[in-house]
Amino acid sequence: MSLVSSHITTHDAQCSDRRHARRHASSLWSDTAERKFEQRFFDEMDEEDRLYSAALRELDTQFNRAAKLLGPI
Amino acid sequence: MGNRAKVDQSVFDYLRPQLKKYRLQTDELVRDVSHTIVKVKQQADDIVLERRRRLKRAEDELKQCECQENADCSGYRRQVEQCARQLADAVKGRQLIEEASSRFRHAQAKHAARVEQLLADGQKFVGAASERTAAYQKSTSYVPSTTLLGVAVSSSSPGSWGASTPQASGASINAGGGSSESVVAQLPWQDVPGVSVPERFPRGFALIPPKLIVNDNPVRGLDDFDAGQDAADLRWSADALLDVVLPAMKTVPDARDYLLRRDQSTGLTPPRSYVATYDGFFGSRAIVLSPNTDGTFDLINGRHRLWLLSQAGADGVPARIESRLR
Repeated sequence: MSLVSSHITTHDAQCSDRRHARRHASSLWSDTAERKFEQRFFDEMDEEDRLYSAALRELDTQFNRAAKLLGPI
Repeated sequence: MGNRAKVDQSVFDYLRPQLKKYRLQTDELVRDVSHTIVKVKQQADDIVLERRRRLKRAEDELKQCECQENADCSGYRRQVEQCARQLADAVKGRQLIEEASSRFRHAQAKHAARVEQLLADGQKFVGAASERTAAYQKSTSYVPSTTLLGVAVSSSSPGSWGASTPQASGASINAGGGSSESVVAQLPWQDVPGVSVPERFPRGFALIPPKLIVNDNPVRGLDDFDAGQDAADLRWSADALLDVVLPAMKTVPDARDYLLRRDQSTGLTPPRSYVATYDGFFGSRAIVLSPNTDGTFDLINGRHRLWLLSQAGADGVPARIESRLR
């Protein structure tokens, strides 16, 4: 397991926190503006989180491959 | 989510600090991952260097062996071959790290820029939505049942709107206390719910919730800044006010002196210094508000800083209160 794995855990926790915030906001706010905010902010943030998560996992995979050649890093 | 439109003002109080938190989280994670990459690359360099040294030692030992007549050097040769393989592996591993890091840095830079843009847009959107609902409340007799002012509505008692915008006609208003406005009108501004006069604030200053501030000429974005205004410096000051200056004023008797010493110890100089921030918000160029009889405050000076503080998720705006009647 490379050093990047702890960052993946942190990012996953932040994503979970954001999903919770989204649900809470939706429970207080429900109109046209809220739907736009959902689409323009939360949906876009979800997509960014997904891309960043994938990039972190790819980095982790490559570092683990490197660790097999280098020894523990 | 039901079909009925609903806006509880507390959602904006909730979202502003959330957006600020997302920015901090993103910045922190990006920085931490970058540190990790630097550390991993350094370790890989060290391992490659160490394996080069081992190979060199093994080659030297083989040479010494071969200088001896009739010596069996096969063990040394195997050692050299093994060290050469290990070095090749380490070089390959380091190459993997460099390539992966390069790809990741590119993705991370894109991510950070995109998130920054989303958060800026999000804050703008929340600010505008909040202003619309506040304006709507002000223009009607709507008063939430739990407060006198229609601000800082608790999540347990949301106002319910029949339409999504303040301009919509025929909105269904869930008024909770029609006579409350007259009660508010009789209150001195210091007693308006949400307003506070912190003990260590300079005389005449108070902390006012942004939603109580009526701004006829709101800033909509960075384009509204004047040529002589450095928005980045002002944004820095707004963050410094919330993160350092106001907390210091809560705990330190002579906050300005403390902030001056802190600037000196960390090498901060104006305009990006804590003491300059203090002077800006509590000096002659302070944000100035004038109390209205309905419990709101008209903005007299400081619309750009008000916007920046709102963007930064401030719950209270430090301002000098001046009555226009005086």
